[in-house]
Amino acid sequence: MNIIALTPKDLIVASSFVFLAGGLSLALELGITKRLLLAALRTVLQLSLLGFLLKGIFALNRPYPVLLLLFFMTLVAGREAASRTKRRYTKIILDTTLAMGISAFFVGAVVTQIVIDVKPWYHPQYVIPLLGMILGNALNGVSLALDSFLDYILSRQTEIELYLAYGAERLEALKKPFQHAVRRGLIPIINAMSVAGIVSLPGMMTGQILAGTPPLQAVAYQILVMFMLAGAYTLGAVLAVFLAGQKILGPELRIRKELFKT
Amino acid sequence: MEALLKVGPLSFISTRKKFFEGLFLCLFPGDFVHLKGPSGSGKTTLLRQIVGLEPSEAKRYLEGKLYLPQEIASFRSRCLYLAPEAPVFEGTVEENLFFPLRFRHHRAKKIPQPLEILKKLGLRVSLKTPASLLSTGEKQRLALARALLFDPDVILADEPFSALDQENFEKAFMLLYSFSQSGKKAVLCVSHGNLPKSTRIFLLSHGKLEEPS
Repeated sequence: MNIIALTPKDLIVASSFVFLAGGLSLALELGITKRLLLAALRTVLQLSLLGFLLKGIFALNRPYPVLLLLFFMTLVAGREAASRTKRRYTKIILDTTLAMGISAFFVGAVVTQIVIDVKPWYHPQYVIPLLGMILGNALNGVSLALDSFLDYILSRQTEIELYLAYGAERLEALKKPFQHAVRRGLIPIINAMSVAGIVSLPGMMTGQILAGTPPLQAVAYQILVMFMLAGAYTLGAVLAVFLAGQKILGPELRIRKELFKT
Repeated sequence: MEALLKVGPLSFISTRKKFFEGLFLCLFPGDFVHLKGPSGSGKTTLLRQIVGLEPSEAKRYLEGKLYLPQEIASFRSRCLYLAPEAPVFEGTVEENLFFPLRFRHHRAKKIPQPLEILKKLGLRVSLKTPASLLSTGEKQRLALARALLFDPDVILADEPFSALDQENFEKAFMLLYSFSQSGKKAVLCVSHGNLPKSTRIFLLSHGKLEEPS
């Protein structure tokens, strides 16, 4: 394979783009110079840290460090998903983390163990990046769906209570917000699949091609990834709103507004 | 005679005020009860607690049968709460009238033609009209018509006439009143104004529910 290795010197040259952006931000008085530079610094630090971590885990090649890292990634993703919604209820983070964990575990297991069939089962070079992509995308689906679910319920409270007053069971009363929310949660992945390869070269495929993978193999992987993400989006969104519906209506089937007091 | 509806104890105590505590409410077949009380005495909360839209410790009995909290949906299908906003959702008048047929507890019901009841209420709109085009008074009559069509045992109506003119008020009242007289039925009706007919009265004030004699 013909990989052209990047050296620190190359990255220093590349950093001039960040300084260019910073300079423009100063000149135009955008007031985001500091945040931009800080974000760039975080990119360098976080990714370097991850690089060393992955290098270590790859070298160890044992199941437990892989599982530990996946567990940690799930917790962070759950927290991030909860913090992205405009409205929050008590302990929303439990539901987002659970939704994220179940969908990532399920989709990840099918992809790594059945489709790609990695040996050994925890092969870090495959398992970690794939799970990372699944979590990152399920996170999007979960937070978008949950956001529009909560918005629907709170802004159309009288409508939901009308259904409840007529004896609707939980799923009957929440059918419309469920549909609305899951639809909303799936839009990004549907858009991504529609324009894949036309408007944009997907990031992972670009990376693989740069790293020397034959284009058709890279395409095959990208298709797999798209389908896998569609699964992760759907599962994540459905699970999250389902769990939220359990929590918000509670066993007595009423909108528990007290959960939304922060 | 056995009570048709028995609910209690109902308590509503917020951090700043004690509205009522330990109330029991009983309705008998044929009752039409006018629930009165000053604004802010908690009438709406009382009604919402009866059907469990607000939290309470209340036990609910219909015809002597206890409804557990997990059977609340079934209870609500028999003891119907009519919200004061007369909410409608996107869709036609017809969809707004018949949506409860989608719910398990109403699915088996035979619902009569709505036109007659709409006419009695003086509501002359096509079933295909988008419900959002209705005026507030028309929405109120739509909500009342729906409640009567689905024929529950008890109707708890919160200000069901507030946006109606005198003529339509009397029509709507008479329909609701005759519902309460049509077998094992009862109505509890919150209304600020006087009703065209003298009925039983419950007065909620200073945390007490009393029947003035």
